[in-house]
Amino acid sequence: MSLKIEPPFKLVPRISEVAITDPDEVSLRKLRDAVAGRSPQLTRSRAMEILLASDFPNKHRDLQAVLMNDGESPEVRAMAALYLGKVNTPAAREVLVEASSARDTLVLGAVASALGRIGDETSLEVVSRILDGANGLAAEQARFAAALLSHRLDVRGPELQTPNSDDYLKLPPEAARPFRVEQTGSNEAELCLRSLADQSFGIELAEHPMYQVRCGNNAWMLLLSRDAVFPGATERLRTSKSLAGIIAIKDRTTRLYSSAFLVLTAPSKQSDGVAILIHRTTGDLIFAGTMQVVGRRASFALGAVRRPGAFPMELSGSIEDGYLDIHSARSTQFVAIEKRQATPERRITAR
Amino acid sequence: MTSLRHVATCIGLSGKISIVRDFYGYVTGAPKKLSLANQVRLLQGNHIHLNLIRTTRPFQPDVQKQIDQALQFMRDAYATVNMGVGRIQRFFVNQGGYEIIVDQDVALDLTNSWSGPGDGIDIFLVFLIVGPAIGMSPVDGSCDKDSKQSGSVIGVLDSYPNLGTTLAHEVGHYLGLEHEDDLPDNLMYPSAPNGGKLYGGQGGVMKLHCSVKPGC
Repeated sequence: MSLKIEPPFKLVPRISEVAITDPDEVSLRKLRDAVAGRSPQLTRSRAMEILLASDFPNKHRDLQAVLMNDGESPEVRAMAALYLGKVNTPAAREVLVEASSARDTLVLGAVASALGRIGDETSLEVVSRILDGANGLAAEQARFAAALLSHRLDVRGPELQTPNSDDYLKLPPEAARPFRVEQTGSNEAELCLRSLADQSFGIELAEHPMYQVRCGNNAWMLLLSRDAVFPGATERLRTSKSLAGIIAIKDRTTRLYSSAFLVLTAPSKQSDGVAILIHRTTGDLIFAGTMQVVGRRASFALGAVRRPGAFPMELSGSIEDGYLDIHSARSTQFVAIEKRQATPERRITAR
Repeated sequence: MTSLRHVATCIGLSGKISIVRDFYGYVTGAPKKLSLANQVRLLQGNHIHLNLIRTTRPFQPDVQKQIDQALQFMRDAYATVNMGVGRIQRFFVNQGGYEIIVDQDVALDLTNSWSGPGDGIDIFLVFLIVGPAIGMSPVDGSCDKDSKQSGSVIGVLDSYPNLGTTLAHEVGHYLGLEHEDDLPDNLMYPSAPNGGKLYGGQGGVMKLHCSVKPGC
């Protein structure tokens, strides 16, 4: 469940059947003030969210002013970079490229991540430069952003690590429970596509087929790239890297979807098959597996990769032109590897 | 103050204790005039403990002050249904990447992969959550720290000036409360600011949660 803030002025809704043709200028001014940190009425993150959802023109300029301002805190600048990644226009990309010389690690990592979401081949060069010069978290974010771009564009880029057999979590038979994967109806598919309008990661998502995954209280949706559903698409995976789809999670309160995982594929180096790597949008590898392609049909098997907080999962089936035939889908409710422990704050001595 | 020592020990405090810092858990001083007798009375009834876990660089003093005020807001709201808020412990996540929650799933990852020790409810304080949410929590959250989603996530920057509402609201979810869509005055109304009120029935639900301690 989640708690939202109601803006103190008219909100242009993210999902609406009504075309907004006459934006309220007063609201725009207030919104711009809030984005710039000059409004006590609305937080900056909320202002950026509303700006993003609005159809106000040149919204990248307000975010640019925040991102390029060294006087702002790194967190606020990073936030502006991430929202630019959602604005997803050539102008927004240019601003992000301009900001790729930022010195702060948090800002630089956010710029790389945003370019990974919306970038083109030029952006890949920029992200690669960030990768060469950065270290720590910014380097990790740049590496994943570059890999994401190289998969989406099917060009040379950093390799993503494929797990060994020991890296997979074993599913304990006594705790395994089946979960459902089924094709969704057109209304839910439309809602999902609308929710993800600013989170498409540079691919066109197919309206059909779309698959809902239900596990415990959570519902996910598998959306495939249009490139992954045309006749013969499966065969192409043997020779090309791809961003084959997105897995989105549904918010129980808002009922909207947001992107959770990215489905990346690459011709396997160890076998004749195809490696499937399912990463969190921030880069962590969560699930992985292989696919064997025979003609237009491919059989696949996926499992969960060992990491703190991971829970065992196994999924197997086949796919042909985007249509799934699930053979087995089982998971557990419990985290299999001990969680990481938060560190106690140093106690400040009371006077 | 024999009963104070007894209550302090009961909530896990030992050694030399500062009333404001340790007994209440405020690091920037008392947010308002405090009634020690009232706090002791509340801890003699059902109460909870909290682990505040930041995922960001150390908070600036003004943000720390907001957090202390939020804790006091929560204490006041929960006191109306005779639920105490006891020990507050502070921690941090020593790995980057959780400062800004880009997608909802990253919040789930945070509560699936990290935890604080002991019997305090884990509250992860992130800088912000991108999207409409300012806080997230499972309803009737687990008391097993090794289970999925064992904690709530709150965007500190998002929530200001409603951080107290957000904190009390998300912990309310964790303790089993659902949204009250038709009661704008209620703490569990799904938008902030709201009236911050709790009614007796909600207190009854909260007190049944596994993380709620019996009276000291």
